Amino acid sequence: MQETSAADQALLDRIRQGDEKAFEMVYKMNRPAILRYVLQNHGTAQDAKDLYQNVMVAFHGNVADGKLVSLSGKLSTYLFKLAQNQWRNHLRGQKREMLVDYIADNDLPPGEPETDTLREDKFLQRLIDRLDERCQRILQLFYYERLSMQEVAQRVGLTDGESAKKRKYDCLNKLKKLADRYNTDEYEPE
Amino acid sequence: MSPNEMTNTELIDAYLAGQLDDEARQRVEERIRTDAAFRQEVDLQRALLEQLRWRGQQELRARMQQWDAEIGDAEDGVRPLWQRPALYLAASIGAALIVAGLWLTTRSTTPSPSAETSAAGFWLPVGSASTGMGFAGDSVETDSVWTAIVPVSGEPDQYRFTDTLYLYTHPDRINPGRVRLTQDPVSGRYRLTVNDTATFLLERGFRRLRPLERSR
Repeated sequence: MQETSAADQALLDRIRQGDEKAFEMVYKMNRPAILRYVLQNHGTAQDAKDLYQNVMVAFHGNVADGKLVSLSGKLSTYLFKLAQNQWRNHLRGQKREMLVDYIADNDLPPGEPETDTLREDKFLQRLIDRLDERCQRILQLFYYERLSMQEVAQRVGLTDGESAKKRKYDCLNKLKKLADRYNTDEYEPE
Repeated sequence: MSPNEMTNTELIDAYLAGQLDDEARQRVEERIRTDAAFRQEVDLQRALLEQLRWRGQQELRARMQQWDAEIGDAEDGVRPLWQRPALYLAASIGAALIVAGLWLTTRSTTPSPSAETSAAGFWLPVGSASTGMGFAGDSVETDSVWTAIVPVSGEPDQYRFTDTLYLYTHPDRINPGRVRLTQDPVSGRYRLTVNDTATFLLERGFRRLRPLERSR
């Protein structure tokens, strides 16, 4: 049974509340061990950095989504296991990619056309860019950081959670209207 | 707020977040099946939320890259072992120690090219040590070797014998006119007789200096 650190749990709680300093601390503390692990397992320095970022994005997502609420061991052990899994998957994926590359090189015509999904993503990105910064921030804090409306209100300087909630829906509606205008050719994206 | 009081945006938001009870969720799903405009609205809102999450990840990655830059590559683990300055230093010191050690242990045995090339030399006939040629006690010349005496002041006397035979000794100890070299045709070993009195066994083909050892 691994020891659970109260300090680790406190860091986790702070991250769940959107404390960026706590996340930064965890990021910097665990970075050397995981980078070393990748380097010692046939990875390059760039592989190591990329993998560590993926691990920390996954960790952040798990905390924000409420999938990781309490630790059964040390936080460093949890992150290290994430890294091991991702690196093994990466190595397995490399073998598959080599096969896919081989098939693609031999069977497909050059110059892959832009997919519908990619076009749609770019379109949605442009819509979000047209929102004012406060709207973008509110949506980001709620949908990515998964903060409560009360916490969102505090972050963006609104009086209470109800105001933040109303503002959030205003912002979402604005996005949908922009999309409608584009679809009816009234709006030309830049 | 009950689902009936919600705007479409609020209702879809709650549906996508899994916050509706079973009855409300089933009503939304029924609308998605039957109302094309509502279905499009759900699709758009879902796609927008995915994009917002993606942007959040990108911003997080940008912050992490900034922290990486602050930390720099000097931190342990970032660079492969062979790219670390500390290891370069350690390796340099180690290499210097090894070179120094080799120099200390071989300085008395490593030939000095300049001393060898400047040494005076002479052709030394090589005789066969066989005694079955009808010249008892004598030998037949089979070859000749360029021989040079490299003057050194200390002990012990040494030699290096490849194409040329270098004798590292004090010049007073060897009289070139009274040196003979013979080879045993069976063992291939050489025997050097100096001043008609002292005999040394030599081995040919080694680049390192060897001590001149008297034959018994």
